[in-house]
Formats: sequence, structure tokens, C-alpha cells
Amino acid sequence: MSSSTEISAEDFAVLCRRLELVLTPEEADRLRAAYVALQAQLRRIPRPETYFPEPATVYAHPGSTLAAEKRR
Amino acid sequence: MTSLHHLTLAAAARAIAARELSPIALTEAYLNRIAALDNRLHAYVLVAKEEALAAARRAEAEIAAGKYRGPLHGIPLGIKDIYETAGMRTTCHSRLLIDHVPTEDAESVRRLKAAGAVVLGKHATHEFAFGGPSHDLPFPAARNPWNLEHTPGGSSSGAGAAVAAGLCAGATGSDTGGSIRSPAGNCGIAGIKPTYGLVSRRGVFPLSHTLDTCGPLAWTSEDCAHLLQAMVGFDPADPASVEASTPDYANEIRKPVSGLRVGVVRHFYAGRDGASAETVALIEQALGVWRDLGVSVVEAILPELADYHAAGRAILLSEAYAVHKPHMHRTPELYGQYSRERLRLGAFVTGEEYYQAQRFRRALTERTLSAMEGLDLLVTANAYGAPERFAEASIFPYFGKPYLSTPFNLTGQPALAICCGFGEDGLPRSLQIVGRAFDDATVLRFGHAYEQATPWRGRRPPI
Repeated sequence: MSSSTEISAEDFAVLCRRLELVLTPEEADRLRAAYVALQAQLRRIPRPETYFPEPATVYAHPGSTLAAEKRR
Repeated sequence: MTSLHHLTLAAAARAIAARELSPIALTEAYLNRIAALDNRLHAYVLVAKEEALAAARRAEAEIAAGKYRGPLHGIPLGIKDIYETAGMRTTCHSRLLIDHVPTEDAESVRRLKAAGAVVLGKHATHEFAFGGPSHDLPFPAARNPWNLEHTPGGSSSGAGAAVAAGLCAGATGSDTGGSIRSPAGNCGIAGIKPTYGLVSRRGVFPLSHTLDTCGPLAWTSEDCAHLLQAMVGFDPADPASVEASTPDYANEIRKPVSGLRVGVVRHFYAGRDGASAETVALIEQALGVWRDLGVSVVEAILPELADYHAAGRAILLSEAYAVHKPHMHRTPELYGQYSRERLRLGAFVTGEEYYQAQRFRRALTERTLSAMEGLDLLVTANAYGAPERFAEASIFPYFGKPYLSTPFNLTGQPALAICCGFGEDGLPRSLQIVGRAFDDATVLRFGHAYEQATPWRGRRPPI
């Protein structure tokens, strides 16, 4: 797990407190490394500049006639 | 002659229908097999011997009275321990629910029982279908019957191990990021993640509501077709359930595959840092088998696998954390280490990131369907190589190679994992067949045709 997005142990501890996570020092070390890797992964997700793109809904499969039937 | 415990579900069903096989004898064969092997495999967290025998006796009496219900009548199955079972402990393989005895069956268990199935017991799982293979849980982790040092995959780990070793004729699983297809592949069996919305999830412990899908695992695609037939159906109590007309899957799979057009998604797994050369070669051989059956195979280009993986992780981690947060904060010690640490990672996904991931999911789904224009199916790898050893398991496996299964959880499409041969290590290798939403029948037909044309269904684990 490596990334250019580092976070100090102190800053990570603050973040954990805000999230009400109570961790042992070993858990905090492992989670901090995972957090850095997760941040790198999340950067792959685009942030659209336009307002309109919709999130996926769980009720309709795009292009599915069956989903259209259900909506009727 | 094939031992009773190694009959396919379909063969056992035909024998029961012809009154050549007693459901009681079949159930006893599986119970004996469990008693002989499960102290090494740990596929079951609960064996319901008396209940199973009582159900088998009822089935036998009904069939003798001419009240045959169909292909699952008298067929012994195992149920993943995140499916609620009335009067039967349902723990999710966790200390948190160690004494939980539901009063109602999950909807798909109800449907399987209504079809006449016999419930042998509850199968091991990764804790809450998420935290495994962990060794600090109330029950041992299930092991791979092809080699006990290797994991059976997960999270439907007990289901995969039990089906492969002949400890049940079929099983239920759940698939949020590959949890049916991973054990199916690792254990050399078949497992289908049906179209999202086709099988009710009511009474199945949630991991990630917008991704969770229930489905079957069995020795063959044909066996999966029989199980899926009983499990599908609209359920108004499941908000994701879709009222879709469903075909007779067992009949559909017998149709020829000639004329089908298949796109192979090689860029997911071939090349540097991809699947092992052995796996790539076995998939190419499988494509050759289908070509010989009259299938047209072309290259399909989808978005990058890592894009699906990133969106899938953000959504799954975030939703799973939301489900578990109250218990996690109150009683973290009741979770195993893997669940506890993995679930906490979801706390760091912001609301904005989750929303953007769901937006990205829609875009990825549209691009996937676009890439399938003119195609009936996709084929790609199900795993990069051999099942991992227990010693190789890690708490956070999400940051290495992207998961091959995740794309089709995001898109909701049906995806079947089947065995496509064996490595030099004697362990199974697998591929995925992916169809259009609600065209699960074509996916199963394609898997069935391959299994009929190849020798792999004749090889059982040496346990």
C-alpha cells in the first residue's frame, strides 16, 4: 500500500476522534496505511463538472425493458 | 457407479422423480459424509440432522403419495449462515449473533423449502459476509477440499467447500463483490450471481444494500438453474425486487449455443500484472471450445477494471459501515479482527465520495452496456490464478490487483463462475460468463454447454 497522499499519525488520530473510532496503536497504524491507500483509490472516481449526472439507482437497470415495465 | 454424495443435483432429482432414489437415503448419505469430513473442512457451522431427516421423510411420503413438487423435492441443501432460518440458529459466523434464532425463514429459504428442498444445516461464511478468512471467530474458517492449506474463497466459503466435497447437493450464497463467484471458482464448482433484483434478499443479513445479490452454488450450471428457478420471484418486501417474468431455466439451458456472439474482456486479466499464464491459456482453450460449438468470439473493451474497483470499494465500504456502525461502536470486541478493521475503513468515505461513486457507477454501467451492443455475453477471468493460501490472507486485500468480479455487482448483470480446468498444482481455475440484465438463462446455457463439452465435471476433490 503506497501513495503520495500521506497523513501524519497525529492528524490521523484527530480524524479518528472525529469519527468516534477508538483504536489500539496497532490498529491505528494498520488503518492509517489502509486509509492512505483508500484515498489513492478514491481519486480514480471522477467529480463531474456538470450538475446533471445522476447516481445509480437500485431500482432500474438502464436500458432494461423489464425495469420500464415495472415503472408503469 | 457414482456415490450418492457425488450425484449432481439434476441427476439426483431425476432419480427421485423416477422413484429410483429415496430422499431419506440421499439425506443420510450427505449427513454421513458431513460426519466423516467436516471436522477437517469446517464447511458447516450447524448441522440440523434431525430436522433434515424429518424433512426427507416428509418428502418421501409426499412423493410416494403422488405429490411430487419438482426437481428440488427431497434434495439436501446447505444454507449460508447469513440467511435467516426459522427455529435454526443464524449467526452470520459472528459472536455478535451467536444466540440468534430467527422466527421466520429468509424469503429464498422459504421458496426453496416450498419447492421441497431438505435443509441440512448452515454453512460457514466470512463474518457478516465480509470479515474472513479470520481465525478469531466463534467457528473455524472453511477450508478448500482441493487442498486444505488453501482458502475456499469467500464469503460463501462453506457453500463452496461443501458443494465441491459432496457435503450437500447445492447451496445458497450471496454476492456483493464476488462472494458467490470467488468460492465457486476456488472450489471448482458453478455459482451464479443473478441479476440484481431477481432474487429476494429479505431475511438475508445485509452487507451493502445497493450491491447485495443472493444466488445459488452447485456442482454444475444445470444444478444452478434448478436452484435459481426456486429462488427467483417478486417480493414486495424487498425494495430492490423486480417483477420480471422468468423462463424455465432448466429447459432454456438445453438450447444450443451456436450463433451466440461473445465478447472476451481480455484487458481485465491478460498482460503484465494480470492473470497467470496458465489461467490465460485455460480461458483461451475455453473460448476454443465455444467456437467449436458455433459461437462467435470477438474482443470487448470495457472501462478500466480499476475504475469499477474504486467505485465498488467506496460504495461497499460506506454502506457496510452504515449497517454496522451502531454495533461496532457499542461492542467492537464481538467482531473478529478482519471485520472490525475492514468495517472501520468505511468510516473514512465521505458522503460526497459515496455520491460520486454512485454517479460513476451509472456511467460505468452505461459504458458496459454500450460495449455489449451486438453481443449476447461477455467472458472474462474470475480469478488471477490459484486460490490463495490461508497464510497469504491479509486484512486489507483491496489495494492490490483490482477485483475481477466487482464490475458486475456495480452493473447488476448476471455473472456465472465455472471451472475451466486445473493448474499444475491440481487446484481449479475459473472464468466468468456475464449476460444482459435478466438474461440469466443465456448465461447458464453458455456455462452448461461448456461443461457438457469438457471433462472437468468428472473430477472431484481428492478428500
